[in-house]
Amino acid sequence: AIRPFSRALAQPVRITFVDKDGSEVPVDAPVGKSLLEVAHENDIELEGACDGSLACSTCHLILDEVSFKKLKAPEDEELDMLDLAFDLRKTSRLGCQVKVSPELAGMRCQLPAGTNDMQQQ
Amino acid sequence: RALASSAATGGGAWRVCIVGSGPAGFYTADALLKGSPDVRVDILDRLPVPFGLVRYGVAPDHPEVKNVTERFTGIARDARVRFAGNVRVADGAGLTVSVDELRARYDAVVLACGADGDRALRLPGEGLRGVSSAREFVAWYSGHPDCARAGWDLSRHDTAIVIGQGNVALDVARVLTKRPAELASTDIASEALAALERSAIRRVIVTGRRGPLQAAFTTKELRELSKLDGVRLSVLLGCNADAGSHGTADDEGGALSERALAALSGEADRPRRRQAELLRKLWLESVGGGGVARQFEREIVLAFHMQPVGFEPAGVDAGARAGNGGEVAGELGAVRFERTQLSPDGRSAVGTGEYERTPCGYAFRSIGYLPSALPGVPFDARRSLVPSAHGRVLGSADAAAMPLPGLYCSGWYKRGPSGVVLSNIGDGAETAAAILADRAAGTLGARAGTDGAARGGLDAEGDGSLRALLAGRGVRPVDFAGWERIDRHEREAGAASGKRLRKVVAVEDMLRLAREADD
Ligand SMILES: Cc1cc2nc3c(=O)[nH]c(=O)nc-3n(C[C@H](O)[C@H](O)[C@H](O)COP(=O)(O)OP(=O)(O)OC[C@H]3O[C@@H](n4cnc5c(N)ncnc54)[C@H](O)[C@@H]3O)c2cc1C
Ligand code: FES
Repeated sequence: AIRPFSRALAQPVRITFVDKDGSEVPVDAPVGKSLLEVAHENDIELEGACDGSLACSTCHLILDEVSFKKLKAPEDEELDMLDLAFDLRKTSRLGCQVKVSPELAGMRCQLPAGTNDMQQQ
Repeated sequence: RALASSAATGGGAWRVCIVGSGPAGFYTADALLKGSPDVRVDILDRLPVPFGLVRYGVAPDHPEVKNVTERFTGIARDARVRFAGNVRVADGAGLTVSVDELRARYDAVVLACGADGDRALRLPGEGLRGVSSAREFVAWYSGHPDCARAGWDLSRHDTAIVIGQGNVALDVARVLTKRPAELASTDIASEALAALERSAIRRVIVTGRRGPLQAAFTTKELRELSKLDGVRLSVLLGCNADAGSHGTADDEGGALSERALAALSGEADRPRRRQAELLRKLWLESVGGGGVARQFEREIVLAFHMQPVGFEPAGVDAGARAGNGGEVAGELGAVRFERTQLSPDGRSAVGTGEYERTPCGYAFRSIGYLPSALPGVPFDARRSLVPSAHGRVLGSADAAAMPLPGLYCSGWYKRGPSGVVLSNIGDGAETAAAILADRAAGTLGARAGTDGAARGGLDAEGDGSLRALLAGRGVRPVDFAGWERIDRHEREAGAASGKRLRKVVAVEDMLRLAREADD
C-alpha cells in the first residue's frame, strides 16, 4: 500500500496566513515544507530567528482549532519554547515544527499580536 | 510638516545612527528600513566585531540561538546600512565620539548599547579571591577581548556556588559541569576549554532568594540541565544545601505541592504550571534519592530560599571569623546564607533568622547585568536605566520629563537586562515606530536645523561628517567587509581544529585581520 511517489505527486495545499492587522494571505503550500518555510517563500513577516532549530519561538503561529487537533501534539521541547512566546494560545505552534500535509487544507495560521518581554536575565 | 522635514534633510534621505550592534541594534535597523525607503542607518560598535551578546553571551553549546546572526548579516548587507566597528561612543575626549557629536550629525541617534556592567551584592568578603561575576566568566569563556586576561583556575576546589537563578546562572552551571569533550567543538574560547578540562569542580549549587515559582530561568534551560550526561540535578526546597537534606515527600513540596500546582489552571498560567510540574518531578526524584542508580560524575543543586549574607575566607577558624569586623582578604572558603521565606504577597524574600554556611572555593554572582551611564545622556541611577518612554529618551528621571529630540534607546539599554533575543524584536519595532512618527511630525533632532552644511554620517564626505571626525581622531572603523574577513578567518581556523569557529580574542588581531586586503 506504500506508494513511493505519493509525496512528490501531492498537490500543494491551500492555507491562509492571517497577518497582525487581520489581512488574509492565501497561499499554496507544498506538502512537506514547514509553515516557516512557506511563510518566507510568500513574504509573510514571520521571523524565524534560529532558522528552524527550536531555539527561539519567533516563528510562533496560532492555528485554527480544527487544524491544530489534526496535528500530533507538540513535544515538551516545543512547548518549552512556546512558553516564551507572546500572545500564547491553546492552539499555538512553532511554525518551523509544523509540516504541511494534505489534511491541513484550509488551515488558517494567525500571526501573534506582538513580541514578548518576559523572564530571563 | 512631513514634507518640510523631508525637504530639510535633503532629497528625502535621512540618517539614523544606532549605537550597538547587538539584537536591539539590528532589529531597530530592520524596522526602520522596512518603515522608510529613504533612511540611511549607520550602526556603530565599540568592538571591531558585531552581534553583541549573541556572540559574547549566548552559550557556546547553544549554536542554534546564534543562527540569528545570519538574519543580522542580511540586514547589514542592505545598501542603506553601514557598520562601523571599533568606534566607542563615550565622552569624545579621547574616547572616540560623544553622543552629542552624533546627535549633531544624525536626525536620530538610537542607544542600543546593552548592559555591560555588573550588579554587586555589596556583602562582606565580596572581594575575596574566588568570588567573581557570572558576567565576566561568561565573557571569558566566550572570548570577549575585555576578559581575555581574566582567567579562572578551576582546578583547586570541588564546589562552586552560583548566586542567582536566571538563565545566565544556569548557563554557568551547565558549562561548569558538562563534559569538556562536549564543549570542544563549539566556539568556546580555547583558554576556557583548557581550564574546564583541568577543573576539579564536582558540585555546583545554584541558589535563589525566593521559591521555585519565582525562579527566573526558563523551562527550556531547566530541562536541558536535567538531561545532561553524567550530571545529577537535585532540587532543594529551602533546606540545608550543605547537609544535603532535601525535605521529605510528605511535606508535600510547599509551593510545588499538587494543590499549589492545581491552582495554576488558567491558560495564562500554562508556562508557570509547566515549569512547576517539571520542578516537582525533579524534586520528587531528588527526594526519592535511589530510583534508577545512575552513575554521576558531577552534580548541580538548585537551592531555593537562600539569601547570601557574606563570603568567608578559607583557612580561618570560626572564632577569628566572628572577631573580624573589617574587610577580609585571602581566598574564598564559604558563603554564608540566611534562609528566607516569601513575603505574603510573594514578591520578595524575607529572612528567617536562620543561617547556614556552605563551604566552596568559587562563587559566581549572577544577579544581573547593568547598563552604564553615557556622558550627555540622562541616567536614572536608582533604577540603573536611561529614562525613556516608548523608546524616546527623556530629559530626566522625572515622570513629567519631556523627550530629548532625536535621542532614542532600544533593547537592554532601554528595558534593562532581561529578556531573550525575541524580546528585542518588539522593542526595536517600538523604537523605530517612535522615530518614524517623530519624523512625520517634524520633531526629530536638530541636524537639519541651523547649519545643515557640515553634517552627515559614515558615508558623507563633508568636513563635519562622522567619517571626517573619526579620521581626525585617528580612529579607523572596521566596516562589515572587515568583519567578514575576521569571520572567515575564524571559521577556517575553527575547521582546522575541529571547532565550529575559533574566535579571535585580541582586538589588535581583529583589526589586523579586518584590514588584510582580500586577495
Ligand atoms: C549569558 C547570556 C546568555 C544568553 N543566552 C540567550 C539565549 O540562549 N537565548 C536568547 O534568546 N537570549 C539569550 N540571552 C539574551 C540576549 O543575549 C539579549 O536579549 C540581547 O543580546 C540583548 O540585546 P542588546 O542589543 O540590547 O544588547 P547587546 O547584545 O549587549 O548589544 C550591545 C552592543 O553594544 C555595544 N556597545 C556597548 N557600549 C558601547 C559604546 N559605548 N559604544 C559603542 N558600542 C557599544 C556592545 O559592544 C554590544 O555589541 C543571553 C544573555 C546573556 C547575558
Ligand atoms: S525558527 Fe526558531 S523556533 Fe522556529
